[in-house]
Amino acid sequence: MGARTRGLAYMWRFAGRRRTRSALIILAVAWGTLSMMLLLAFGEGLKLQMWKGSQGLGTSPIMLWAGSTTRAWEGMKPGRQIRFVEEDLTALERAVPEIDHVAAEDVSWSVDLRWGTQAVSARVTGVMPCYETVRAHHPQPGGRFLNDVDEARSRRVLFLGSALKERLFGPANAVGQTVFLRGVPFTVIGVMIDKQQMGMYGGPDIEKASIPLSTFESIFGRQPYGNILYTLKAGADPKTVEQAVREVLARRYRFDPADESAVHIWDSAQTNIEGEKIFKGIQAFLGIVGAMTLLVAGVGLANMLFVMIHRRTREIGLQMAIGAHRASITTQIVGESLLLAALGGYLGIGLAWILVEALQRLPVKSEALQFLGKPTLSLPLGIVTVIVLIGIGCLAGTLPARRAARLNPVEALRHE
Amino acid sequence: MSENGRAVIRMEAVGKTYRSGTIEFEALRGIDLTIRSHEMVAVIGSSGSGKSTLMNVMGCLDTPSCGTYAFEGRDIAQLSATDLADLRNRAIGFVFQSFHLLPYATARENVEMPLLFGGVPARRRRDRALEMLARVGLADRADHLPTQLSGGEMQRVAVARALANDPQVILADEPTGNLDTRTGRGILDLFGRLWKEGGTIVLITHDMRLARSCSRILKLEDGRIVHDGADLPADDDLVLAAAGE
Repeated sequence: MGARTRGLAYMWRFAGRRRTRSALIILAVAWGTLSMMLLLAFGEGLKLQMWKGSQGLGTSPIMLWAGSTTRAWEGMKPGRQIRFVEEDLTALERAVPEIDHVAAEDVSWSVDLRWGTQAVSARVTGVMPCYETVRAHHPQPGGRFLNDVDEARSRRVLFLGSALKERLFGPANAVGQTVFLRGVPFTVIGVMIDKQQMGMYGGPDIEKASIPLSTFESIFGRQPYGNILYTLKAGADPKTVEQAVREVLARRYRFDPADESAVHIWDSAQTNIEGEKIFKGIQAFLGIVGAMTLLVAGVGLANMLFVMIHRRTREIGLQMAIGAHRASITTQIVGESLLLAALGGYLGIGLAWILVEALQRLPVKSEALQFLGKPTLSLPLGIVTVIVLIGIGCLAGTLPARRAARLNPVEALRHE
Repeated sequence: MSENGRAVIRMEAVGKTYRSGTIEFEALRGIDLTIRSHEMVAVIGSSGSGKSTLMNVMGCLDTPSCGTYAFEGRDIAQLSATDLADLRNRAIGFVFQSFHLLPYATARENVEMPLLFGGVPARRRRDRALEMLARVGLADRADHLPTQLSGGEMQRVAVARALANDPQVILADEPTGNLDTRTGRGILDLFGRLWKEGGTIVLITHDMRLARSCSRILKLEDGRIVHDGADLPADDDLVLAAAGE
């Protein structure tokens, strides 16, 4: 049995007998761990929520809105309104091979919808079948999204946003029901899954109804598209494609390709990147706050150990007098520090786990909380916390241990 | 003075000087001393005469500033801190005035402490501790905490602890100083018995009756040995006689 083992054996036997002081230290460490775990768990929940939100708009579509020119170009005066038409889609598809999907939509902001005696006013868009993936218009089980046949035959079919469905139908089943849209009967073919949406235009998708674009035109009259959107093939550079798109449209409508007001382009992927940067900032902030909390807990632990070792000066003097090696003294103190840090750490992690589980089971309706997401614990977080705790335990224990080992046994025995 | 035992402690011109800033204090000066096995030595002297310093140097808790000190023939100046710890563990048993028992350890666990730091396996530690407690008459108190013991019993536990590793010498610093006369006498009888069983004992005391029961009496004054003999110095004997003893 080496000197260190003897120190540990001594610590193991007597650490449990000093209950009050040990319990205080364990509680302090548990509190620090709990705070850090909760901060990190909230950060993780926020991250998940933001990721979900970034998926809400679809597969990073790039949106085009028609504007008006601000520069004279090829004999045309400024202030000309640009209007998107069906031919723009085919022109873009032909001229820019990097484009994967290109589609158009139109919108009517306030349309009367009626089901039985229930009537609401809602936003209705005419969209193309590719919106199911490109704009994440996924149907709930039991329903479907608009398809090519609906579009080709201008069917009177309606796809409801989940929130709009709640407004019109409440808990009743909507699929297969007939809804009167401006007095025209439509069959509900699907309801959108409930989704988080970070980037949006006009409002959240779950609050609108979608009908085939061709049907939309037959009801509201043929008119310039509200907007066009396209997606990129894998590996395409968004900047060059954007430039190509501007040039195609500039040729068609005769405006200066550098005139950005003629066509407004919004790359939702860029918004996601911005969002990620902001999120990284938030996460770093939470991490720093968490680390500070643990640091404070560590300083507290070191302080309490100092006091504890100081009060035990005579005991250490006695151990030296009866033949304990310095290594036995340092090992028992560092060992005790690690033991207390570990127990406090486990307690803190356990409490954090219970709290997080409880929060996840809590039904949350508030929008602010929906944006925050639900705190989520992850294995890497736990591992990082445990490693940090072990480090703190070692550091907090080492200083008092070295001080104790340097004690003069004669003076230590006389210590009051 | 028994001249036939082997020399356990041998000091030659040992001095100990404490420095506090620019002030020097000579706690021990020119101590020449040999203590052989199976001696029971009382160290007397007024407060500040150097008794405790002498005890700390003998017990290898402190090192001399000058001179040579050999314990069982080994020059302790040549020993490392670890060697000194091992020497204290195996060869020296300490008994303190204020007992120095661990408050949260039972009597048996307190006795086991030197065995633990000596690397004795748990089972043998336990058996040996119980044996030592029986030797000081506390077999039935093994599982009591110090707070559940009387002062005399606490000091007996401390003696059992000192005996645990079967040391060459027991150093006792005023072992009866915190006890009443009758309890003190009990401890004294215990030391007498250990001596008769072959132990070597050095004890510091203010108690002249205790000193007189030892085989040899050393008197210190200002860090020097001023008396070394089987009997009390004449003046101390007179004081004792005047007190009606």
